[in-house]
Amino acid sequence: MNPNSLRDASLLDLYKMEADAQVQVLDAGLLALEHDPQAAAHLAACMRAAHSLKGAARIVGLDGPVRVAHAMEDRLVDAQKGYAPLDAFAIDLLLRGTDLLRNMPTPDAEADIAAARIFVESLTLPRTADAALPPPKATVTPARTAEPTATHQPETADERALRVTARTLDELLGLSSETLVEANRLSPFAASLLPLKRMQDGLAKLLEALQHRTAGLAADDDMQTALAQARQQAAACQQLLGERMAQADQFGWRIGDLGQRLYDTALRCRMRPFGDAVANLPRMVRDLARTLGKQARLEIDGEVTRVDRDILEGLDAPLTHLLRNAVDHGIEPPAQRRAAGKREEGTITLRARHSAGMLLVEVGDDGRGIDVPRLREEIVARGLAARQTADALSETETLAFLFLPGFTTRAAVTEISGRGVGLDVVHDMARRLRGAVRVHQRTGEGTRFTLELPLSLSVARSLIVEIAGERYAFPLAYVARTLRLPHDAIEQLEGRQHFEHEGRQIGLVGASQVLQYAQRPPMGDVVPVVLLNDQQGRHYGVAVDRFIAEQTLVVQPLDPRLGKLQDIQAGAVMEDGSPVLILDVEDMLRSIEKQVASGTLQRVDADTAAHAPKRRKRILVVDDSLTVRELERKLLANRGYDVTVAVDGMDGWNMARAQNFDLIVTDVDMPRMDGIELLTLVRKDPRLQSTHVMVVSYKDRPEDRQRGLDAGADYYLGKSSFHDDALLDAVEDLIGRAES
Amino acid sequence: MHDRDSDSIDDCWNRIGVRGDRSCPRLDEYIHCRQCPVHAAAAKTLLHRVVSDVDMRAGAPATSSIANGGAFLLIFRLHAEWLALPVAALAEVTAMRPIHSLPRRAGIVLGVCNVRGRLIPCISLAALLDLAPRQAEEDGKATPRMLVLSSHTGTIVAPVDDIAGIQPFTASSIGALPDTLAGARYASGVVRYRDRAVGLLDSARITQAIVGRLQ
Repeated sequence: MNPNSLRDASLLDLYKMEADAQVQVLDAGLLALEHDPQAAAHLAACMRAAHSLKGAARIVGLDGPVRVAHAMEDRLVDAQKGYAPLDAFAIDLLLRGTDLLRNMPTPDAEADIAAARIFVESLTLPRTADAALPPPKATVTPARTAEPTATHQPETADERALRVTARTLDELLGLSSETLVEANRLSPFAASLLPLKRMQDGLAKLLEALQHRTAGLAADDDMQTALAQARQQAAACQQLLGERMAQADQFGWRIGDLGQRLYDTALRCRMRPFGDAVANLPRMVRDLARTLGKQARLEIDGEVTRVDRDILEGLDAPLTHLLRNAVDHGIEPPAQRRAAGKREEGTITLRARHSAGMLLVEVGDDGRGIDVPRLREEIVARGLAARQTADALSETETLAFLFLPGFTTRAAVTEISGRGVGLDVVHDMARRLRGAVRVHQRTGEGTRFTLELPLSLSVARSLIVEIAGERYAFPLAYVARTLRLPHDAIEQLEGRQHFEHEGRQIGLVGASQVLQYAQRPPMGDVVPVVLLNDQQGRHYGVAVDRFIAEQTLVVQPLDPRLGKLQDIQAGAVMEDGSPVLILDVEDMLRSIEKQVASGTLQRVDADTAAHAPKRRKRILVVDDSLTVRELERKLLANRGYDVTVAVDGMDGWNMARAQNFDLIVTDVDMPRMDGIELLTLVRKDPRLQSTHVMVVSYKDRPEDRQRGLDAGADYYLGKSSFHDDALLDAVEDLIGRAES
Repeated sequence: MHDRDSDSIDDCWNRIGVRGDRSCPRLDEYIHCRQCPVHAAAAKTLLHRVVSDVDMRAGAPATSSIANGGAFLLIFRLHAEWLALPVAALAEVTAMRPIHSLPRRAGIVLGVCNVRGRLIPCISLAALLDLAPRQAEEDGKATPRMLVLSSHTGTIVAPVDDIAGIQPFTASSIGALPDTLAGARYASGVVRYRDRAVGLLDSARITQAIVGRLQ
């Protein structure tokens, strides 16, 4: 039937692998050539790739790819010799060729050959009749339809080699760390043999002295012989022990080295270069720009940046969305750009770098930016906020609306479609990866989205300290400074300790006090202090017992059965095998704030207790927006409720369990833990069964409403309506008046 | 535990070896019985011996009754009490390891500890069982160990004061609880081991109680 039916399957696999690699070279080279058609190096690289592919295809007997590669090579040779320079249209055609190569061989060899023939014809035709050809769009379309398969293929090839469950990898890491610990015990053991060696040396010397002494006494020969023998034996012992010790030493060193390398390799299993995930993006940007009649180029920076495998996989969707947005809405059409005095070709930069223990991924464009005043109008028009509130919003707060699901500023920002399409996906993904996404814009100069993600979900560089006799770790990303404060540098003000650092007074808090350990070790002459900054720019000095080390820890989530531990993020095992808990610094800062606040609260309570013994209804307001939080707090406090605020779901959850509330009013979209999660936790906790929960959210769609009610909310209120009495009425319906 | 009579194995180490009168000529070469191939061969035989060869206490009929409700039990000591747990509930027994306490957690949770590179929650069985506080005087011979308990809900570590070993018991040798303990929360029976009464704990109820009190 098929002339190729006898071809060797494994040879074919090899060809596919080579084709994947060469097609990438071709793609990259062709895109570069589009910019600079004269770039000899890229031209040569493309020719080499096409040529090697042709050779490889010939060996496995694939006629289709041979023809395509051959035609491409010919075309490139023509370009090199200057017969036919490469214009955008030619590049389009050649890119189509790479798509064909990527997807070949299909099971149907005849169809391959037919497709190749059509391609070869299309490639040879235009040299004479450029103008008569269909517009480039028509040729781009098939290339784009070929894209899904193009992106899938390398992925499946990847997985075949690397299909390992995360659990196995974790176990491997656990075992390799234990191996390292055990291996490191060998050198102390070898060292412990030293006293034995010394004792033997002493024994040998004693024997020697004895022999010398008896030699003069003319004692009997038997004794002399026995002594000589004893000395011989002792010498043999010394030698043997010496050899064995050296061997043990060497063995210890080797096994330690191996253990370390095993551990490092196991760790590295999780990391991949950023470039792995972005190879096909320049192509996507180019194709998209061309279909939209624009010119755009993607510049990638930081391809070698190492990124955790889980994070890299998670980045795929958000990056695609952000790039599409940049091309679609950011970059202006060439005419507009020319009028604005910019280059016709827009530049989109994708940059990945490590910064302060975080992975920063930036997608920037040099386009028109975001029209913030129009965005405000849109917010008001959609009833998401009252005019007053909207006008009071800062630019950053306003831009945050872009991340609401379904929020689009169609016609407000661009003509084609609204920015915001897919931005909630970006937002969700960043949240899921324990990161954040920010947007900056300069009108007329461009927009920049910054994804701030942890370097890895599994490894954290940390400062290990001792608190109340136990080991704790601060993730380095949160540590501003460490200090060793002389005891007399600490001053007191109203019973609170503080110290001066770089011209600023900084409050001092005992870490064991924050963690509520009963045992408070006395302060020494020098106090080790970790400086922490919170997002509002407040500084705290946290006093610890002592600094132990700076180390890379493999983060282990704690057993979920233990529930959420306040101020603790995860656990880890140190190199010597001892357990250490990793502090949740954001949580901890909140605990500190609360302890600071409760100090004053007590005095306020003491004053009011005499006048107002009546118990007021207590409400917890959970919202991450300061404006909304304060608005709600004021509205409720004016009605006489005792209102406490929490800045996100996690904070709210900690407070809900620590104190009694009659009602929790929560937002849905919040960092660290969203309102639905909080609601679910509250409903699961038997002690909080009687607490009412009201959800207040911008998400006003019926499905959002349903999601909230399904999770157990007593009431779901759209944020657009809380400026009137709707909120207060609903609160009174649920828990009655403030004092009763 | 080596005092079992058994025809197939000659426990020469107890007669002429390091635990006997040291008259064995092989001692010159091997210094200690544990280096001697005879000892190793005997150990291997013991290891590979099928269960039915093991002498069942009180002349009970062998394996079939283990299948019919009998069990291998791990016998350990907590404070002054001797207790037993079915081996099926046990993943391993390890040496003591450092325990890291959890802030703001009291009750039965002692903290977490490192078992084979994983952090496992560590609980106090004594606190769970409401045992009387430990006597100040401990005999020096006890070797505290950690039990790694594994169930469908996950793994838990619990330190114990001493371990006597693993013993097979037939269903009939597991006695009922005394009437005074009829309402016992975790005990399901009593077995006799070396003229001691040992409380047999119900592993399912223990696991359940632990999960409920971890948070």
